[in-house]
Amino acid sequence: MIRLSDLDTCFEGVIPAVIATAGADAEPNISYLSHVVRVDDDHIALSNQFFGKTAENLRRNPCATILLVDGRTGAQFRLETLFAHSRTEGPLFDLVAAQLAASSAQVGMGLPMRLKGVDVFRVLSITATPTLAPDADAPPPAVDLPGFARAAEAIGAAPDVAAAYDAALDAATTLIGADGAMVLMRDHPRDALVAVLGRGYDQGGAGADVPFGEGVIGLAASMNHVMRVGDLGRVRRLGAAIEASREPEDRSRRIQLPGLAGALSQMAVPLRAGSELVGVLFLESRRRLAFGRHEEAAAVILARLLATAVRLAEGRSAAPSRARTPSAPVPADSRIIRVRCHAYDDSVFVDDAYMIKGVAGRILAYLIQRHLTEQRDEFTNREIRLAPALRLPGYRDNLETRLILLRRRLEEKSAPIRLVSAGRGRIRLVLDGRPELSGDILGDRPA
Amino acid sequence: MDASLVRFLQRPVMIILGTVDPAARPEIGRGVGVSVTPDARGVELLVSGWQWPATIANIRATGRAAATFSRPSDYETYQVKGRASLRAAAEAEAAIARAYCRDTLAALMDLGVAPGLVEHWQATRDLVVVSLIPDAVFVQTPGPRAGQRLGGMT
Repeated sequence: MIRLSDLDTCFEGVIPAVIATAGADAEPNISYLSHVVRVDDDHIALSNQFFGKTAENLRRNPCATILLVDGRTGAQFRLETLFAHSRTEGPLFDLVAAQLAASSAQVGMGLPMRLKGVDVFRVLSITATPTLAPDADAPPPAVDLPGFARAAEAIGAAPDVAAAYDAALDAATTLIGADGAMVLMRDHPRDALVAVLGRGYDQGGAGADVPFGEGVIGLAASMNHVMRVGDLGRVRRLGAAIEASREPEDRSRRIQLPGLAGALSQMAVPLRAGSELVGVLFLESRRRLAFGRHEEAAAVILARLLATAVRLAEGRSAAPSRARTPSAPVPADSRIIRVRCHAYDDSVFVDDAYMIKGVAGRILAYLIQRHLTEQRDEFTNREIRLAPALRLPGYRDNLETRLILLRRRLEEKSAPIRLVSAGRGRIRLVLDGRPELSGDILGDRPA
Repeated sequence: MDASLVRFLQRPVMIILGTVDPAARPEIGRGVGVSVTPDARGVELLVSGWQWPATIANIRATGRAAATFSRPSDYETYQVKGRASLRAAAEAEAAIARAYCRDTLAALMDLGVAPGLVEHWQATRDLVVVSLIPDAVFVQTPGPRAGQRLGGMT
């Protein structure tokens, strides 16, 4: 006997389902369905975007036959159902709304049509439609639990925030099968995320912005729900057109989010510490339907472990008071590094190349300014955290994560200014020349 | 039938069929080919009696069917409802079904659909011709015109 729980890959929204109903006059009606959700072992839910006829028929005759198609194999399943009830709010409604949003993002439509309601059907029988197609390959193996336990240890025992991110990205690629994985942090107080670290991408992208609600990543943040898409085949051509029209970074001051060439599956998982959204863990794969229910469960556990580990590490990064190591003397004939700051978006340009803006931009300007006035290279995270000019909102601001992002961005740009770790809770500014600050100087502004 | 609908049906479109059994229970089937009759008053759908036996039995019992045609590239969709009758397919119709399978496979692959996914519904065993004389045609393309009746019908 086939059970609904055997049909996971029919609920991925890849291949449209079909519904047939009968009118009062026994007139058949048949249409495609955009989304079907499994509610429990005996019920499924459909988003109510029906054409009037289907809805009208169901009020008179609750019998509906639904054809589901397995998005992985193409196999078809006939469900004999009875219309049970409609929901216009509550957890099921929110779940269907979230899934609809994800599939709209999948076909490149941005925000979806407003969901009017969710219709729940009781499933009376499930039969496989006869087929002449050969048997499909075996499904990919489930997540390796012993490996996952080792990953949990590595994240929990990470000595600092960067190590926790690395361990989580390792797990995302080796255990969940992602070809590309990325951590994005919430950029308080804006409703936006900023890319911090990636794995598996050809290009960098630290500091790239993703507004809430935009694409799979932004939707995961705004809906505070896992977003999964299993077949991006059609979106790719759209993406190529957008790629071609991109503005140069130095003019737009927008860093491009890295993308995995040929990605067919994506999954964005909210990173929550306690109940607070602190970022998004994003996974992509070149395989179709790479992320099923089990992979989603694994990624949710991973995200929870990571967010908790990062929150703990941020809290304990207190280091001794300010560092007093004088900077190494810079030869008088060394080259000049031109650093220009713009107060209106806190953007920083180095030798006319756009580096970063926002809080990370303020931090970079602050470090260079302190270097020039105090002749030192080493800084403690604590003094950065407390510097009034930076206007950081406290430990919840994920300073360590911002420093990782900034460090990574400078590396990706091969900038003549770099940040390196100088032991726990300290960083060192490494300069290939003598910086000269111009533009809006940060320190003297009222905080 | 409307000239624009006749033109629409000459390109690769996905075909689903709705029927109802004598106890008013609805049934689903798929078509593997469609041709417009020379007088343009009806369509002939090709259906595998092996894969969709309930659909064939319902048409035999009730003489009614609804067929929805959808173009996979842009979701332009029409539903045709009317009187339906059956006959066994001849070699000419089997050739139409083979051409249809080839053309829709190419169209779907062009959209990034894996060929293995298509194979499941492209059954041509025990091919039956379903002649459908429309009573009404409805636009079902998602959007503002969805559900509207297409004019010019008898």
